[in-house]
Amino acid sequence: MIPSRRAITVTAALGLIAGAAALAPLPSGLRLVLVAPLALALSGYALTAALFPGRSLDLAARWLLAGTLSIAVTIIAGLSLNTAGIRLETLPWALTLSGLTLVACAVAERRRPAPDAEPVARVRQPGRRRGVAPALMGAFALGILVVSMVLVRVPLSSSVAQGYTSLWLVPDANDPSRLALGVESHEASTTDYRLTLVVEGRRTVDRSLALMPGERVEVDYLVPFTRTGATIQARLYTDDAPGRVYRSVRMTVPRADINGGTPSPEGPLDEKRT
Amino acid sequence: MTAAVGVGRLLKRTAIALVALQAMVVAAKMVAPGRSEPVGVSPGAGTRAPAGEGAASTSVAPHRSPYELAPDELAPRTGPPRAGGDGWRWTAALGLVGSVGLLVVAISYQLSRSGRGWAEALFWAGLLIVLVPFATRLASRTPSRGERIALLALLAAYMYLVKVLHDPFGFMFSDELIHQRNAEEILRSGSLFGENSLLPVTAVYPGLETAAAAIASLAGVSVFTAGLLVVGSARVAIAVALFLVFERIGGSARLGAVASLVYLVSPNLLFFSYQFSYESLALPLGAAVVFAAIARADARGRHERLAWTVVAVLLIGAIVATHHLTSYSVAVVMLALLVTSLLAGRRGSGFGALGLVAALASGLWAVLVAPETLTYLGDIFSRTSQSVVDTASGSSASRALFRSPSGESAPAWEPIVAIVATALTTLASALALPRAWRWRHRHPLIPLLALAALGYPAFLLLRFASSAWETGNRASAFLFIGVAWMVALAGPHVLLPLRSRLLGRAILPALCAVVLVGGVLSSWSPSVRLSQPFRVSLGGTTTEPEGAVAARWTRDQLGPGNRIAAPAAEARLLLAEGRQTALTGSSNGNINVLLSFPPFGPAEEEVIDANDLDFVLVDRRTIAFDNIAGYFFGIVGSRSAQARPTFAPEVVRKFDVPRTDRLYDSGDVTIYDLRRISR
Repeated sequence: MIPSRRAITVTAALGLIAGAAALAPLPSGLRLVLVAPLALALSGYALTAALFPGRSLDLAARWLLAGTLSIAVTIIAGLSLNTAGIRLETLPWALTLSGLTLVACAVAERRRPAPDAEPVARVRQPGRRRGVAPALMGAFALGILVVSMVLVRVPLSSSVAQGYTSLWLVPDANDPSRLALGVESHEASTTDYRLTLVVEGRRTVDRSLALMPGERVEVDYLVPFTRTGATIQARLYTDDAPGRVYRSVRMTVPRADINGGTPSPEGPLDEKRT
Repeated sequence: MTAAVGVGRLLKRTAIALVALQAMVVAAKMVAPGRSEPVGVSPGAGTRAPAGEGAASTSVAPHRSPYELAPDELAPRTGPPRAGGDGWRWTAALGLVGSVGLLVVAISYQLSRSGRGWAEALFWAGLLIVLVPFATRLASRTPSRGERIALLALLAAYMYLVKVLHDPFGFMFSDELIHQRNAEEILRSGSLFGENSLLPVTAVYPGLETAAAAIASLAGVSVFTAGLLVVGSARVAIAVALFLVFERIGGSARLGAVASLVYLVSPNLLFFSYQFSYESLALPLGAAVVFAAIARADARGRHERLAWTVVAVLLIGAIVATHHLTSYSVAVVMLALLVTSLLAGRRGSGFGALGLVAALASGLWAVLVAPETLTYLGDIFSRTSQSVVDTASGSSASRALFRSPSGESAPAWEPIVAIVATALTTLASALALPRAWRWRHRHPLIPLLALAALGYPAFLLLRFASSAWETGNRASAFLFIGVAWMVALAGPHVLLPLRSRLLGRAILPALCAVVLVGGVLSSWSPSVRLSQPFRVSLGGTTTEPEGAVAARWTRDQLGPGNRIAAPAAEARLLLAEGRQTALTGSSNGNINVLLSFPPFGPAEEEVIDANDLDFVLVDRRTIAFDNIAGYFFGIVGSRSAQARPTFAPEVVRKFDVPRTDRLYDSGDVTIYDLRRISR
């Protein structure tokens, strides 16, 4: 099978469109549809057309080489760009793969056998019409595939999984007297909590909070310490079992050279609820 | 704007089915009316074959194929051969049936995630709805060559979609998360050869990740979406590549299609070979190299030979940068082809030159770019051989088959089906041996395929050795190519004695069904065979299991690049989602001991110090040490959730010592700061 002039032209055009689409501010889905063939089929198809301009390759082999060579060319292009010290970003990728496709198409067109070597137009044989039914079946099949894909991506009901809550206490990297205390609910329903903060054995924060599923509260505290080794402990209780520690975190003050004074938090400096 | 985003999302979802669509496009081209082409030969070289076999059977190989037996030697046949237009209808109809099968599989996955009954039965039903009609049609004599290729491409895409539907939210198989990290690192840094703390060798074979990163960067999609497309394309390609190879050496499109079909149902292929993992891409490229090498040997004229050489060298280059073992295998196969060619009295095939190119390129890569490869593979081989010796001598207990790492046992019928499947393929290979022997000089690849088939059962035995089973598992992806060929070659032996037309038609689809089901049963425990709950709805938002949330918490609150010890599953999540330097297992300074045994003492401090650990993630569930099943929610009220074992409290709380800080607590998962110990 000889690659037709039309096939080569369409490949070059698609390569160009793909390169442009990669750089255009399009929705990612549309970009994917336009661009993915560049790395999965177009560059390989163009290269195959350039390497095998005559009838020496059948359609199956041509499609096989289009797919595998496209991936191979992408890998080798990536290695080459990396070796040349060029960052593997959208612009270099688009220029390289589109450029390769266009060059290969130009070579393929140049190497194409003269028109008189092409076979005469295929005569349609009687009784071999495709009909509408196969196209409809194909469309149905594609529709069912999309439905399957959407179906498996539907998240499950929260009652299926065991919920949980995260509690954390993280010192600021630059100022250990500033603490970030966070609670995030992954419970199935709105949960009432009691949160306590104990600094050097003294309860300095004791507050109630209710979090909806997926809600998070992050509070920044300024805690002045009196000595090295002072411990800060945060505990979380649920209203369902107020006597049982539900979550617990703790940290030890690493240095003595932080703010002295009463070991009580100055209150929330900043509270974020998301 | 919202509408544009909505359309974009819909397009993105549709694009996940792009692989199937691509296969459909190939299908449409292949089954176009009146298309009957010679296989890679020059114009006029081929003569038209009967429509039932396609032209290839007469144009390429002058010898008689077992699949070219006279009609009455196989099954009774009535009426004239079907025309090409029928092929288009058949392909569309089977495509529709296959998509219904996939819908049934999707329903089974959704039921499985919610812990409802019938999920497993529906899964098997869906799989068989996909497979059996395709197998029946492919085994029959009527389809044209183009239709056979189209059906194989579609079937390969559908089988791949079974895996895609299994984990629709992200990569979940253990190797996938490791490669996901590499690809995301390429996107972030803009350069190759980053670091990977869990499997360092993967970072120096970045072929798969480069291709995925290219698509992700160009299209602005996630590595997950890009990776699915790359692997999907590769898996469709291997079906076509094997068909073309088998067809050439067997001289029959039907033989080629049957052999390729058998490969598509090979044990472990369904999930393992469809992973976002370097071997999943390298093996299809390897099959394309073998096709290119064979076509090159048959090429007429210098230009054509040169073109095939360029193709083979480009593909070898990509393989060398993608997967160590596949690149070595390509070199070995090429050199073995040279030997068998010489034994058959053929010269000038060019296999030797390609073998040398592959050997030289992979050797140079291993020395200059990936020096850790030899240590990595050496460790695996020494561990495998030691394990085999220990198991054979009885000094270590043999591995319990049909039991998951978390101790879950399979129902009694499963081992029976799996053993029957193995016995059938072994028997079929044995039946084909006399024919393979008679054909040994017909094509230099035939003796190699027979050898691979003979080696396959031996590698299956490795599954009994505790540290060797994974080697046997990985080898099966290569060796089963030989088994597929031998099973197809055995076809006439099995079919000839059958007088019943129905039996004659049913036997191959039945065999494929048993091999597929047996392969899935023997490779995947019930807990992971079907999809598990990963994302659940919480009012207007969604959530994921503790491990995934904790991994992202480390990235957001502690910053990336910390050295964190964790159980196997969570280490992978920390690597991929948390962008941390995760450490796990026994090869990383005995992290498993650190996490599994109380109390905290000098030995622990030594491990922390030796690994320069910043943090440790403790999970009280033992399933977190299972890198296949350890990522998911336990389903409320289910037996499996209630039976999930946990560590003793003294293990879970061993890091509650004065020199640690307990920074994060989500119930099962706790994260401790160890920096006051390690510094």
